[in-house]
Amino acid sequence: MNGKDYSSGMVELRIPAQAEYIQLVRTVIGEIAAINPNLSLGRIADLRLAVSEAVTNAYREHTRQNLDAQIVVRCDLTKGKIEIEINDQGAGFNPNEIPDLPNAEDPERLNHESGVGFSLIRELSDETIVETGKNGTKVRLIFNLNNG
Amino acid sequence: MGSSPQLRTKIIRLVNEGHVNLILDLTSVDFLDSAGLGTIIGALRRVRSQNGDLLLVCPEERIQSIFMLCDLDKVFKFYLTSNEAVDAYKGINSL
Repeated sequence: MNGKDYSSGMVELRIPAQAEYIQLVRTVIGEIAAINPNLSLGRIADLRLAVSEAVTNAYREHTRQNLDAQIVVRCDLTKGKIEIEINDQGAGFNPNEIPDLPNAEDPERLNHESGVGFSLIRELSDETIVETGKNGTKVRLIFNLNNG
Repeated sequence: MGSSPQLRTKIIRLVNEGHVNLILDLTSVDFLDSAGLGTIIGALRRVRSQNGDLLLVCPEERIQSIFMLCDLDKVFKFYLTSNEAVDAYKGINSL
């Protein structure tokens, strides 16, 4: 701790719903998070992966619905935590309705190549909040700064 | 998502050529997401369907932890070096 105040406000990115921009968002948000020395390298890697998964979900939703609208990512460096918000204009989803995958020991598990993105988001962030409405989906990822 | 399609294409080509006991070296991988995991799961399914196997060289704890978060550490066999993975195949073949 050097006494410096890193709660310096909001950064916003607006990207086309194109796969090429997912890595850009991951890199930029990771670099922003790294400004704060209270977040370990491991947690920055967690954050980059969780953001990447959430933006990938938004990209897929826009692609599936053939939406031209941009995906908006906000990173809020507030006191004691980093909050990242991913906004898309897709039809949304209920995280409680994501089907469970077969157990790892079940040979059927190998027939499921997708379906772990949201569980990764939930595992990696300290808190995940999903708000879905007629105007799209907002996924908020919260990373506490005192968590390693 | 970046290199997953290329990996998938390469695995399919190798399996079609009859190479079914594969080693995937993740040593230089510094980022793995769900799309990458999906590709690796698909690769394992393809080789297993031909009575083969896919061993992973994964010395990076960070990358291995992503498999663990998805319970996939119970599905794959991990090795620290490619030599260890090759030796594992030799052991299998000598049984």
